[in-house]
Amino acid sequence: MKAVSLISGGIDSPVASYLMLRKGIELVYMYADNKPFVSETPLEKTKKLIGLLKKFGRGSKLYVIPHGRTQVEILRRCERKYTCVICRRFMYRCAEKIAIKENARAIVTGENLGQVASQTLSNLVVEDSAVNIPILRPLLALDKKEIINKAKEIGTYEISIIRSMCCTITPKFPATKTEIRDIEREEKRLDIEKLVQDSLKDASILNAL
Amino acid sequence: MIFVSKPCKTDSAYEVLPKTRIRINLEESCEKLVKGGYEIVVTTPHIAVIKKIYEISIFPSGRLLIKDLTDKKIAEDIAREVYALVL
Repeated sequence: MKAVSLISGGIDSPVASYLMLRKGIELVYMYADNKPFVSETPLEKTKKLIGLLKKFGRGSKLYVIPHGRTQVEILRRCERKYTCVICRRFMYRCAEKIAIKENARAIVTGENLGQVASQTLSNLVVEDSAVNIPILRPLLALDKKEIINKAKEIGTYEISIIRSMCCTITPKFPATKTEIRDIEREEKRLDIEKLVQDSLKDASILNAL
Repeated sequence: MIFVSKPCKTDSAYEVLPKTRIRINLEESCEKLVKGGYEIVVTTPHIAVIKKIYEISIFPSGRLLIKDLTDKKIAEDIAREVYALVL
């Protein structure tokens, strides 16, 4: 069984990937590249993390999806407080397309309930509805400390904490309890299909890690 | 223009914050920044990214994030130049 794992250079997503690899799931990775709203460093960290994760199971193919253009459209057209939820819905849509192409059956994320604004239960439910494929969240109910301990145990922690710029476009007051009708209203201002297709068309696929 | 500057919390950029309340219209400021030698990487109502030597994110509140910079003096020189152009 194969799944698409959304991975960044942070602490959580490599641990989520590890937990799935440990269960025998083969992973194809997707990194949403937020340039120019972040620096180059997170991608470099992500490549190193995947290299390290290879020892725990199958999978080293990495799709690097340009996500900055989508973010610009979201920032220009949608209500500011919904940026994070709409951003994640776009990432899932891209991951779903990759899953179809790769014959994968699920998406894996490092989301953790309540950790940040986009990860409240209300928002996760709304984010899920963007796609028709299951989204697996192995870290959902863990405490941050448990995730950090696991990251240290598997050796990803030291890479994850290398300094890198976090997302610069998080709104000051993000919505934490979104309703699907509000998000669908906002997304009507976007050409969803084109944005997803453009991201996939310009994606780079890295194999040799 | 009085401001405070500090490394950002991830220590991978320098952050500059005005000490007084200001409002920058990012889209209107772009022309002035171009005349000052900056390349406009992207502009939206909520954030603009410009570049000369360093890539800088500018927010309507006047907050600046100067990427891949850890030198306080350079950050403050850049901030003075940017504020002089847009205010």
